[in-house]
Amino acid sequence: MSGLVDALTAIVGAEGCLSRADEVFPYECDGLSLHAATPGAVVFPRDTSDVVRIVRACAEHGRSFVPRGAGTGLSGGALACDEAVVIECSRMNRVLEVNPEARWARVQPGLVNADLSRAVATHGLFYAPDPSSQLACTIGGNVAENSGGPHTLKYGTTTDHVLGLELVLSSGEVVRLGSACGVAPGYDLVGAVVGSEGTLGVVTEVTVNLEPIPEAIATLLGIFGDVVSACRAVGEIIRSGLVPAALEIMDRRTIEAVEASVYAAGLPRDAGAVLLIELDGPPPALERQRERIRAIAMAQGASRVDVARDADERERFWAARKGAFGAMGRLGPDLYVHDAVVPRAKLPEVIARVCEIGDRYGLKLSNVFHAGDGNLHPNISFDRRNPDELDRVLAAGDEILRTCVDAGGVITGEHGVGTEKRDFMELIFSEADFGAMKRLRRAFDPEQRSNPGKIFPSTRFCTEANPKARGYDRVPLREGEP
Amino acid sequence: MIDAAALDELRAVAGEAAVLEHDPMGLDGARLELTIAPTSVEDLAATLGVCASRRLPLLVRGGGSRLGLGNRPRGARAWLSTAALEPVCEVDGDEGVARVGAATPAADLDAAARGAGWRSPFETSNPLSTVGGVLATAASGPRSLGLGPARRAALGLEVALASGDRTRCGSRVVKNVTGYDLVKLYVGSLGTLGVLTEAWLRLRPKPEAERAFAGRVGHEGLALAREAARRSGARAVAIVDGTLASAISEEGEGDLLIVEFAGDEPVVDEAEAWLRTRAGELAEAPDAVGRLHGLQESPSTAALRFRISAPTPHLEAAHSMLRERGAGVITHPGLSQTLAFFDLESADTTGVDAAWRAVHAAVDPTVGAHAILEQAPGWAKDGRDVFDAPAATLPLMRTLKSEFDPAGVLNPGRFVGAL
Amino acid sequence: MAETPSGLGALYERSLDCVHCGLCLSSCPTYVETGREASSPRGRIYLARGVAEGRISLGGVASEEFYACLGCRACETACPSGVRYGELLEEARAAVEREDARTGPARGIEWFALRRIVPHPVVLRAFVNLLGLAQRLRLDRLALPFLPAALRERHRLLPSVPSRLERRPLPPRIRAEGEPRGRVALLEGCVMPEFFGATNRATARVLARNGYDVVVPEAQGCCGALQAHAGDADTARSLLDRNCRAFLDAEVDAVVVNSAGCGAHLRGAGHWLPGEGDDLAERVRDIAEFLVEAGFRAPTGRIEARVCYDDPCHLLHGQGVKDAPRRLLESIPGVELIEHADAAACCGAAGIYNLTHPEMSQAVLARKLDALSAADPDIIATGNPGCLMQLAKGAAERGLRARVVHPIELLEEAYR
Repeated sequence: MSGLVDALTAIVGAEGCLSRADEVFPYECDGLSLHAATPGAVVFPRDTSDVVRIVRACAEHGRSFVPRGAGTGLSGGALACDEAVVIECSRMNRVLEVNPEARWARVQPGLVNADLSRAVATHGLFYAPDPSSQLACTIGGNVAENSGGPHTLKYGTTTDHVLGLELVLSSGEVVRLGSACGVAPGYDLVGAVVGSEGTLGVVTEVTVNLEPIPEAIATLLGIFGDVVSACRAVGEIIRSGLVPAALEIMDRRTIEAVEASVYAAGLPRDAGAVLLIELDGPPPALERQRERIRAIAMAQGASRVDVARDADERERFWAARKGAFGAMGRLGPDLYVHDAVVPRAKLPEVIARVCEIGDRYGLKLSNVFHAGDGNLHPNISFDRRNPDELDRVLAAGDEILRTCVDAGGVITGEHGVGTEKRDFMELIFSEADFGAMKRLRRAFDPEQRSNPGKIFPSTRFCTEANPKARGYDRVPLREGEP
Repeated sequence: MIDAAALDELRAVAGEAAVLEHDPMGLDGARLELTIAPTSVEDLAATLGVCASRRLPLLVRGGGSRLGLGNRPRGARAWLSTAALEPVCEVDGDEGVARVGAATPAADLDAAARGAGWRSPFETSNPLSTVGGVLATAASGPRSLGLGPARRAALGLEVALASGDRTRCGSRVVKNVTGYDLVKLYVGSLGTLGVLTEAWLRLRPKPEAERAFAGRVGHEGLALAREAARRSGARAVAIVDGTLASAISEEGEGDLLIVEFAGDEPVVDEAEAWLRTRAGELAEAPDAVGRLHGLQESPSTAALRFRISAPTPHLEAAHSMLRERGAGVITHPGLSQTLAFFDLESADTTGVDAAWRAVHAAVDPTVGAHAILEQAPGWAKDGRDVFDAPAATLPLMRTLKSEFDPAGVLNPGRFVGAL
Repeated sequence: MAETPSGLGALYERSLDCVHCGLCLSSCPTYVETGREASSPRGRIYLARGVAEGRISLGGVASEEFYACLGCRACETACPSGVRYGELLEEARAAVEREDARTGPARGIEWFALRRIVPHPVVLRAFVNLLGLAQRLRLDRLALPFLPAALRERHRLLPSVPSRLERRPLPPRIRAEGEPRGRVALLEGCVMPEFFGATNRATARVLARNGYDVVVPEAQGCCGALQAHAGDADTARSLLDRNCRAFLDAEVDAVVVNSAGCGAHLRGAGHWLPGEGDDLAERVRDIAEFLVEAGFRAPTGRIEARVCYDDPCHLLHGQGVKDAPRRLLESIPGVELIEHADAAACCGAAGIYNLTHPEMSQAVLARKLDALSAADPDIIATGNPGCLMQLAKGAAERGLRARVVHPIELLEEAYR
């Protein structure tokens, strides 16, 4: 390792290269703290040429590398398996160019998602994909995971907004993919790289499409007695052909946690579920859509449908929604956030089954999810120091994923496979399907040195990522230790 | 001649009736004397396996409506047709998605979608178009502005690889990051990585109102078209230069502006009111977009058809520049595309070279613009890449192609850089 | 495996509130500056957990980072899980102090300033007198031999000392104008009377003008916030104990504080002294918050100025007071309140952080000055002594024309 560290230090300076055990310690996990792996080193490039030299140094030393943004990912995608070198993009965070006329921006990968929308707001534009972590997560991370967010229902996910990429391959070669006008001749390599979880190379520049800020926005909150009827309302809205900007459900336990947090929005604590609906577009259309949606919600058993009176109230509703994940931290020391998608018409039966699974395992399971996309997020609060509870969390997670697959769904809608779900991939794909994916991987990264240990089912890599192997049952400290 | 042993093996895997020898047919200089039209996906996959192991290069075809797209084929001697596959078309009206076979005509999909209260994501002006073909060519028509690009419509695909494997990617749900997004890779890959056999598609909601307008405009037409394309509810917006416009509308002179709005009644009303204040002369023209689509796709419109993509401000400059150089021009500002049509006076390369020069003069690659020659006689494609792909992007694409099709049997020579 | 220091159970328990979501990252000035996970709230909590679990040592990165934190608590505002980061940080620093796990110049400065000078009014006054004399005679350098080595290099960063007249103490009691509405106590603070005597007098006058009898208990003293932040739990607790007695004995409706850092600390007094501390905390109000809650007389004097309000971290994040100071400023005829892009971020003063970590402090300040320079106000208003000094110095060095004042001084000016 020390030869490589010397080489890396020569590229980014001593201050830009961390390698001591306690220096790299905080990089052992990302937003999924149940999985961990210690990186060999962490480097902070400033530009593409730094990345090229870093990747070349890794190649010379036969070492793998992992691009990392803010580390808010929830599938272990930024884990450094095989003592890989973490290429931390946080200092590559500039907006390089904005073209307001053609509505695109060219940015570095470490730019924080929300900062991009802030930077282009003066042009009346915004960047549409809005993961709940948008205040912290980076565009590069969004590209790696093909991140979604509440507003993907209408606007699509990251892949629908990336026009071009600059990518450093594991050989150190720099390729520019796509084009600022959306189509480039040949294979859609941009489409292939978005969502590839950093396994095809290091993205060093992203050209994204910007959307005009909507003329008007209406935010509604439907109050339901239970989560199943809220799901039925979603099914009816989809069937009607309406395309709201967002359709989000929070169940009772989520409401309680959020209302106890700094993001309290005055949600009714006695509701079984709330359905947050956002419409945007020209004002005359909004008014009619609002009434149609209200009628559907009431017909499906909503006790009432509130309309946000002003931008402040709207922001409060959304802060409650986006802070919900963190707010679950109040229910227990650890949180497992699941992510699966089912056909929307199946939501009522699947959500009922998910709740039943949580109850059967005696777990604190709550649901806050992108109902309009059929994208479930069952959250399980637990305490990893209780080995029995950890077993139950993992077993319940397994059953939830199988339930979703049986309903015609998939095992991840926006968090990615990472280390977390690679052993569930066989629920969806055959050997031949993996074969096709591996052909893509080989074309970009024949030696599999870019973010190893992710996506593909494998037991070879990264055994330390497994929570059971990390011995959480042996964590030493309790209150009142000697 | 294809050797007898190969024919026997193909008949064994695809069935007697699916393997048809015939008089040589030409396509861009290739001579094809065999058509294999498997009746099931299993048979099709097995056929691919045989062709790969015997290094028998194939040209893949669906309905044959866009066979003009691509470089001259290299060494292909047989067609692989999806036409005999079952035309699956199951619409899920609750979800607004459909499971569709590659051979299903795009028009049938639209009819089935309408029956369930939805709309197809694809345009259906050409009755020959199949769903597989639309996806393989990532075909884009005037309504792509409102319907979205083909890549966004495809949720999941079943693809038979040259290895003989049947594979799936994506799924039927509308949001999915499970594994690599191979769907994007296959859409628009012109059948060079595998043969699409089935797709899950996202349907479009049925609009409450649809209204199209057409009329002649003056010099302000381009700017007006740009503005119209950015209004909410705009589904198709094009400006057609005067010489081509007569094929759509006999009346008047000058450029023809075609605008179609679709969506909620009040949105369409408002858009129409806006349009009328800006261009009073426009008349309702319900079939204008269909006719436009037919005109721009038809091989009889002109010998050469280029599709130019450029960011908005450059697009307008390209439009004017190509006009000056004698091309027929149709510009879709919302799609960042201009189509340029050139006629050829003689069957030699003089006119083709001149056309390319005109196109290159109008296209600035440094701003992300580029052009492809979508339609041309085979001889006019000689010695150049009709996709005009920048050399720097080719090595990676070549590697990718050889990973998926190491024997080089799928549409050899046709794609970018004569892959 | 590093050896696990003792007494970290509470620290460990607290670290478990963090679910590692990372929403705090972009709110953290040191993370924004360095991009390092260890310099983020999530990273520091993870380091604390690692130390408590015995997985890393307390020395090295962990202790460096515990002290490299500005303690602005912006992360608490961003944290949806309700992690009480400020308290966690104090415990982590206390552990470092107990284990003597820190070295370097920063430690020397803190030890000197926070144990030998600030808590002792007589010593503090003598120190400030000396400094003031030196500054007036432009003989700052004469004072240097009396300072520890690390401070010598940083003398440029010390604030200018006001005249003796400015620094005269408040009378023990200021009577309400007209019929009294109530009786409040005023926290004088340690640094405030030495450097911001005028602000203290303005605070008392505004309270009196609004009908409050103001008492200034003589037994009060330095609140101990800086010592608590620095991990000196013993000194902090004894200072708090003295103030509890002083203010609870005064029998007042509220203890009004015009220094955000002191206010935030007193509001958390229950954490240090359960019972008595809670009683004190309940009565503590920031001056702006107090006036807005109670209702204040609309000023009639005009101040024609574009004013940028800059949120002190320990008012916004530490006490959740955001609107009240803005309401005060808006009430002044002629004032145009303008928001600048970086109002909610730390200015880099952070107690004596500007002396202990000058480079980071200046980097954080630079962002703030960029935003202020873009907004180009006539006046910058902020309600904390450290911030007032830092912004005044920064604005002057950047060549901004704005003067920097406490909002209460503007209100008082408009009452005249």
